[in-house]
Amino acid sequence: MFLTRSEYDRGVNTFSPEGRLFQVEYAIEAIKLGSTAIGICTPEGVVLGVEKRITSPLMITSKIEKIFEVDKHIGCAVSGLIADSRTMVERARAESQNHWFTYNEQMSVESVAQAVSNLAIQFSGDYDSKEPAMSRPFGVAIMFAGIDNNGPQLFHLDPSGTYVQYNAKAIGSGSEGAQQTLQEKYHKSMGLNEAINVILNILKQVMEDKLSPTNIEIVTVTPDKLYHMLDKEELQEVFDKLVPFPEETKASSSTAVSGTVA
Amino acid sequence: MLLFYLSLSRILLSLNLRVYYIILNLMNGQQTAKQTILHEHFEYHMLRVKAASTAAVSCITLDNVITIVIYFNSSFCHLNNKLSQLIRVKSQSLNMDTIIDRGTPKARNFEPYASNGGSIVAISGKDFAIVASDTRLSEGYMIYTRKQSKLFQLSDKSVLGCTGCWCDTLSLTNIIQSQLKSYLYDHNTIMQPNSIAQLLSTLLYSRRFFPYYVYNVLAGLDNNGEGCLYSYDPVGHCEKVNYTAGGSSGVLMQPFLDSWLGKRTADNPVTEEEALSLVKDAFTAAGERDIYTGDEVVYNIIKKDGIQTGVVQLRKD
Repeated sequence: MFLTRSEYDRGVNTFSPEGRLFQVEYAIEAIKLGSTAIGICTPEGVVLGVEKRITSPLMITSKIEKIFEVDKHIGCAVSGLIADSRTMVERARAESQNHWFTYNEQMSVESVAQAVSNLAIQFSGDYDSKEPAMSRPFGVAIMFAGIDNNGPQLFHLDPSGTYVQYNAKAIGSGSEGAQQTLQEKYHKSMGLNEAINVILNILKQVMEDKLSPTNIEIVTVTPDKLYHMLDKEELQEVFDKLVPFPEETKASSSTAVSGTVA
Repeated sequence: MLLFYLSLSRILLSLNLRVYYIILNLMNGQQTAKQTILHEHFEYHMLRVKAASTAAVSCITLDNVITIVIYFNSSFCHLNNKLSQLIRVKSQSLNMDTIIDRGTPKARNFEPYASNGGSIVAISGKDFAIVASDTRLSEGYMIYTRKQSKLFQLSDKSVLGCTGCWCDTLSLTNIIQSQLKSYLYDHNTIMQPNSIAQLLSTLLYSRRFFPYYVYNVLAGLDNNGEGCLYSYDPVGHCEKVNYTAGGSSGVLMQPFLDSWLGKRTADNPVTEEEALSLVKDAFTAAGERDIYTGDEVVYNIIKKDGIQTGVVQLRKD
């Protein structure tokens, strides 16, 4: 008797006969409903950029937060269920502070990703912990951008708890098209301003709303300023200096984007 | 029952014992409430008794057995044995038994610490750090061993000197070693001396109210390859210093180091040879005066290309 997928997608603790955990896969799907977030790691620092979905003109856009400061030297961009992300960001902050308290040094970006990944896989219930287990995987993907002894780094963490280091990564609804464009545009010697420009251009392509300084958030993590969220004036400045991609690549990437939308 | 009271009161009165109350549960469930029974005779005599101390006697009945529990005030210790003996005899004749004799109150001494002696001296320089300890382990007038170094290598760039209560030293250094290993596995990097310094401080302070009785000196090379030195008290106060002495002869050797190194400035840094000879002199001097420091000095010189070890002989008497 062959059991169909639908019978194995209820419990988070049950593998399907093909060896898959459907709830985790569905959680990864949930991220594709989230707003687009892009991160690029350059030798000068890391840039995170996200779109803010303005669903109502009455919304106070400045209060929508998609990028969080974890510590002075680490920021993270989230996509998916934002409520879930709060728990994970909280853990990241606590771990980072705890590390500083115990070792008198800044926690490395990878260690923060590792600490949060431990939280991400606790949905199946931890027998040792006194805390009640989370009943489902977190429906959120996080990109950690930071600077430590190994220089600027970007890590991507998904609901399965897997974390991978990237040079450039996109998550959220426009991620497929955005990732395609990143692959074309990324190069090792990219500067910080170029990275911001690439992010703005990609966001412009993948966002349903018209790109404006009010519906995006940009954060840079650089050796001198560390975590720095661009304020209104700085956003306006980069927006004004925006250099569009040359025509031919724009065409190729926009087809990729339309493919995603369809 | 009455018989029992009378005999009990006679015993107590014969001993000039002032009884405040006897609590009794009467048999057959007729009166289960606690009663304070002060027999008339009892009371009458009691007034004449001048003894200031007290004894409480409670009788608990269970089936047909009456249990007498007598609680004595400490100043009645001298009567205690005699009294229990008398009551035992009486209660046997009345088919009563079980006397809880708490005996003479004793002062219980809880002494979790030992002082096993040993001293540490450490000096840091521009591109090195030297840390040395004696090798005598003792308690009182006894020497346990003449060959126990108190230096613990934590990494290729850091050494911990640890003296005081030897069992605490062993426990603490084991904890640190395991934490260092966990750190290596978790963060994929060897812990730097400044982080070990903070870790040690938090470890010690976590035992603020039952401390490890140890004096620590952590020596190493920092991220820039410069010598660094951290000195501790037993509850985790950490200070970055250029030279320090600790342990049983710490108070003897610190002023010596102060006079030689206290006014050194950055443009006149201490050399490795000078530091080593100061360490040797400090220990030789301490060995003359302190019976807990002697036998040998082991030293570790931590440098960029490794840790160099050496031994110097001290007085062995």
